Amino acid sequence: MTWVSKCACSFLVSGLVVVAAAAPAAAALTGGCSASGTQLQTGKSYNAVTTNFAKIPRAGDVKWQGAVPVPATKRPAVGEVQVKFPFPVGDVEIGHWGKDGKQTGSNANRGTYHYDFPSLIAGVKALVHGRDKEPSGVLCQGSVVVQVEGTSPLAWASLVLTVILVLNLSLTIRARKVGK
Amino acid sequence: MKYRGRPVLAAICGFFSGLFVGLDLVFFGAIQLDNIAVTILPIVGLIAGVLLALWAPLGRARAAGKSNP
Repeated sequence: MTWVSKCACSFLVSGLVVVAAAAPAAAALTGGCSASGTQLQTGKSYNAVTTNFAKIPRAGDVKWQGAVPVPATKRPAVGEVQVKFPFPVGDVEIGHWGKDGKQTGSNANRGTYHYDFPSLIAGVKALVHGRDKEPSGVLCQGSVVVQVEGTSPLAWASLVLTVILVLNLSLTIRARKVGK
Repeated sequence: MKYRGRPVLAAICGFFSGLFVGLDLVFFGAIQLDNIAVTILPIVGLIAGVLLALWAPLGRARAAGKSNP
């Protein structure tokens, strides 16, 4: 076996690991709730019921609206929004409501939100998911894969380190005589 | 005649190679951030490093040449 075929085998095994571990498609918003948003710079609109992937500019403004299928009475609704990281980190909460005992009296909301993500996370596809649980039993759950446009400078640093480490690995697996 | 690489160093290099290959895939958007491959690749790299070091597929002719001048 030549070193070329050895390398090809290594890449094939690595590829199979990645393909076998590919995550299933994310589900959109369920439970009768509605949510939508328009990215003002690109003019793109997203309906949370049908959207499961969104590629957005690094910074901008979103005109958003959302509603839950319950009467607008004072009630202790609880919910959160989380970003999913790989095992063993798991879900990281980035926002929540109602967990401090505060009650809400509305069943719909709207507004314009300005965001400005750091360039370090550009290009990363992150699964963002959330849920809202109403005391009446209504449970809305939704998820979307978000990717910020561009390429992170960390990507190039990581690529350089990968090349150095693979070269280093090739040196450590070089044969040396042991025993007789 | 037996040949071997450096298994401990190869395990360390394999672990970090796998880790950074996983990070490359995440940063270039090839896989999602929550993909289990990010966890698996460093372990695969570690095991592959040890096995490759024990197998020592590279430089056998050079090592043999040194022992038989």
